[in-house]
Amino acid sequence: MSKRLWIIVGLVVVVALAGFASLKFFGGSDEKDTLTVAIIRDPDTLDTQRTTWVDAANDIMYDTLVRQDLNTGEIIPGLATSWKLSDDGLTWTFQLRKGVTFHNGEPFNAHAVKATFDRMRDPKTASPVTYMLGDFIESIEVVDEYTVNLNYSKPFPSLLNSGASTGFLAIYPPKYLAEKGNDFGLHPIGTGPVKFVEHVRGSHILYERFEDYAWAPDYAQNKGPLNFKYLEMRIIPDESTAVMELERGNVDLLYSVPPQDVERLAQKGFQITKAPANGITYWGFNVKKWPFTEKAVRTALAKAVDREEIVEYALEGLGEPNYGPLPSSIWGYSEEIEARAKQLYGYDPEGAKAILAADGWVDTDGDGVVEKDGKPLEFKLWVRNFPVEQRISQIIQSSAAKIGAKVNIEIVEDAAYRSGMANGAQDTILWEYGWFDPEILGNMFKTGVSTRTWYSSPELDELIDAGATEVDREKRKQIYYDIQNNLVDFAPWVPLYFKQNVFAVNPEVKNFEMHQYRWEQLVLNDVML
Amino acid sequence: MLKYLIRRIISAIPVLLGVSVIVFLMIHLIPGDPVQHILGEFASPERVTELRNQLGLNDPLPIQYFKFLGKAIKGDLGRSLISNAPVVDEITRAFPVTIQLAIYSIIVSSVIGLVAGIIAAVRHNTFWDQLAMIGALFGISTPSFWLALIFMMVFAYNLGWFPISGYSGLASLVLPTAVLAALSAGSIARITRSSMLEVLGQDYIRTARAKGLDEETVVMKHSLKNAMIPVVTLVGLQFGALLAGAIITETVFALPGIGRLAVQAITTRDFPMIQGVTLFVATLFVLTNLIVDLMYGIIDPRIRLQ
Amino acid sequence: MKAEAKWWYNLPLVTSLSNPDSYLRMTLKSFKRNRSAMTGLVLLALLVLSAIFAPKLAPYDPIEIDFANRLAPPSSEHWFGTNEFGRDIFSMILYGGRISIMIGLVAVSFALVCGVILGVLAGYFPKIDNLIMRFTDVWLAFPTFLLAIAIIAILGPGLTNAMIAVGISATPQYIRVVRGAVLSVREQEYIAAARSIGAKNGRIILHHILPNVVAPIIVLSTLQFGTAILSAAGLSFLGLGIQPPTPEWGAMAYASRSYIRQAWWMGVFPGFAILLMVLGFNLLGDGLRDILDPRMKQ
Repeated sequence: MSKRLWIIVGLVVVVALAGFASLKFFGGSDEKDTLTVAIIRDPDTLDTQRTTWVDAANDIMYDTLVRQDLNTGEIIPGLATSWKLSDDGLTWTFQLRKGVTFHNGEPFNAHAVKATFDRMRDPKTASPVTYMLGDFIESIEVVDEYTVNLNYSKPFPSLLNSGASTGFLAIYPPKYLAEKGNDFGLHPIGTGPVKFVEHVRGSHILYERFEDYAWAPDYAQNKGPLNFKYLEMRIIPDESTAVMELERGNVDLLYSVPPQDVERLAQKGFQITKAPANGITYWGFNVKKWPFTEKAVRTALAKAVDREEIVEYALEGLGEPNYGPLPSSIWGYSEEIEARAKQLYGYDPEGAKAILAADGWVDTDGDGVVEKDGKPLEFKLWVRNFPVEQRISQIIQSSAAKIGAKVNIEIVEDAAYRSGMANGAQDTILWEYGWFDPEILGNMFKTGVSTRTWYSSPELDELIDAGATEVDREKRKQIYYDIQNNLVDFAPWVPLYFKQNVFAVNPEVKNFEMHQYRWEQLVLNDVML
Repeated sequence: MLKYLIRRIISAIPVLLGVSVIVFLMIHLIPGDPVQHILGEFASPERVTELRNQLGLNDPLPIQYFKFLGKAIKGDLGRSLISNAPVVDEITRAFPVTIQLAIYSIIVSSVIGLVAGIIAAVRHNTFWDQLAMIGALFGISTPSFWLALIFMMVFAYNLGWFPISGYSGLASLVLPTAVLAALSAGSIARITRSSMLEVLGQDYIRTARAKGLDEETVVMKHSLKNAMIPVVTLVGLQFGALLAGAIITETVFALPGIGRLAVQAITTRDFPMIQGVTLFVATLFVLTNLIVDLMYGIIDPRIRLQ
Repeated sequence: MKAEAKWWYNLPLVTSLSNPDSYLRMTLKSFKRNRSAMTGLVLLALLVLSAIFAPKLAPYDPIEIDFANRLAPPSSEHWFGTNEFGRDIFSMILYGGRISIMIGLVAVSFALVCGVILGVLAGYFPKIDNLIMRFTDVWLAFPTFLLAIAIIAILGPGLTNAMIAVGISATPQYIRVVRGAVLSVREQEYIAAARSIGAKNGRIILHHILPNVVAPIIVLSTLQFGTAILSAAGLSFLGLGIQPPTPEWGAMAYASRSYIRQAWWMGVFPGFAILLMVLGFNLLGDGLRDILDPRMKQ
């Protein structure tokens, strides 16, 4: 019997060793040579043309035509050294930087730009973000080796703000791209300061310094390769685990620190940097569904919300209440409109109750919920599975209860959420929008495109179209002013706040600066370990 | 012996087919349009229809199923809707983590469980018996996430003895193994004890004792082998379950194994991945049970002859 | 699991419903003497009663927000501390008990009804036996928790769906157990005797077979109650089950993760509550099994 036992034990040991051997250990990097960043989302793909979410995890290996200055927000040269818009507004011309190569040795030039954008527009790519190039793009033209034209049928003035500096319009190497097609994302190649090594789903993405990197945007001192060898992005989906890893020194940089840990980390000596988000979080109503068809209900619900409370307790003070359609970090923001919105929809529970009462809402059965025509003011709030949003939803629930409205919270996962919204199945939602240009309001509220609130207004649509193609800055500003007024009047949603994005960095990491306008971009050029 | 083997293997096939049917059907019951999810909400209706065609979602259901089955047998489980990587690749990458965890956990829990169970049986109705059984009871009643969080906080965060999360070699598997072993050792101990008690009460044991054989021989030589049958079954079942990926433990410790892959696939409605992972896991489960049954046949000849 | 499941073969046979009295009295006596069962019963009684009387026992409203006292450690005012909204954890746990019990009840009842029907059919009618057993084998080929999660993926998160998901994943156990019990009885002489008299199948099932199935069902259900609670808590912990602000124990543990460093009490107490309740069910179930299985009386 013991012989058999030994055989079994032997088998088990062999299997265990086989298991050991078959695994690739993360190896070869010395602590000092690796910058470890904790990220919460595993990007679906590193091919930025085929995703709807871009941040440092999937765009750090690329460069874009232009960049934004860290502190002033001005558009500065990237892969393009200069640009100009034709007088009729229909053609953008970019002069490209010379002497840049891709990680695989291919040269960067106008052909690369053309190949990249053509591929994005190719239906086979099924890119969900072609609108970054502009809906009215006609063609991309190679004028000479370092000059490229983007030709439009209608003006697209926000190209610089929106597309040209985001990872969605990263430039790809033409030959390699043609070879790989839609498999490009499995081993992507770009011109950025790091090159891709491996992506182990659910675990990490590993990048390595690109030794031939020979330039940098104006805000960086170091015009050459990075000062450290490896960049490891560890995927840690649970925010509090990520904080623990930071505290233990296993992670150097934490992207998006949960608000309740900021104070503690600061006291422990970690570098804390903040940047205001370029968007707002809001409580959206499906205005096609009763009772949100009624202005009185929307107004009362807006007035029931205490934004200070939300910022204080869900965000631990890391944010600011916002009453109007745009936060102060987006061009087009108007203090006047913000003040007007605050006056109309600021926190006023007594006023809210009065409005409901005047509209015929009475609590006939004494259960704390008001009714009208026999129907109670009860509805669902869809919220995603994020801790901060869940806290906010509970605060909203409690505030709404105080004016007689019953909110039922439903946690909905991403996929079901999106298709639900596409079908108008939602009552109310907790969501956010943001961008570098006020045209985001068009994406949110234009008829046919807006599935968040299903708001539809022909006047607004006209204004949105005008704003998207108006080249004159002053005129454009006026158009967006009108757009915002339209939204404030109708109030299809309740803007809540804009948050502070917070990074926490290990004190041993030097020269790290957070991008005040593109918080999701990691600026690593000057960083030293 | 061979006949028994063949018979058992053949009877596993309809089960596997049944599993594939259910996995296939499951996808079509899930609300949330996969195409919408890939393309985002700003996609044009033409794109949606196009992608739908590309993914073969317009064929009638039976045809879709046969295509699915055909490809699966060849080892092609499709591509992830999210990452476009082949599902098989993702599974192959996640599996080594899970299998390591499974092997270490089952070894530790078996050793603890067996030892505890044997001692409890041999020292029946004494303090040791009570202690072992109470420990086992706590083991099977504890929620895994609770134990996982406590271990993580105490040993990884506060004391710093082990990595907090992620897979970085053997050290990062110690705490998850401890959690899993603590939970499964309990049932192994209980089965071992009850099985041993049953065997120890048998006539032939009394005969052995009457013959004057010392207690150790009685226990180790004569009782253990026969008592092992139900224990082996349980260990096999638990191993199979562990191969499914200890979902909660993998989540708490952020280990990139099969369990986490499954949860991620489900929350992102990544259909091919859900199908692939479930099919893979269920197949493993069936195979593990098959192996356990075959070992049954080796250990206990009576079963072969049924 | 196969060996552990065979214990029902040895349960005393109840020959018919017409003479259950002495059997019942005998069982009750053994029950009182069995320490495991009594401990389990007492523990459960405490937990169940505290859940039922939660409104009277809870010092605070579990849903009421009180920001001034948020994240307070355990003290004389808040025995188990408060959470990020200032809600009293002790009160939340008391109310949470109701939800756990309800989940267990619904899930187990679901599995029981389906399991008994299918199990009896399989055991009594050999023709459908094969079909039902293949079906059950396929069912059992899916790891339990994964099956529950997959069902949640189909139905969506929420309390009701969690109960259904857990119930569905628990059913195949019942089918196996019931079928086994039916099989062991079916060949008995008195069944053949009853049939020869001309008794219809339905009557036979009702009067002779079902009583013998009762004992294993009771034991299985008690143990499954505990498993159901663990599964449901697991689902909530992954964010797939109960919605806030419902104070379900698993959901409380899930929410506690964000504050685990500054407020350990938010997660430790709910987890411990789960442990106690499941422990109670396991103790009771073990005891019942001992009582109803004469061979273990040594």
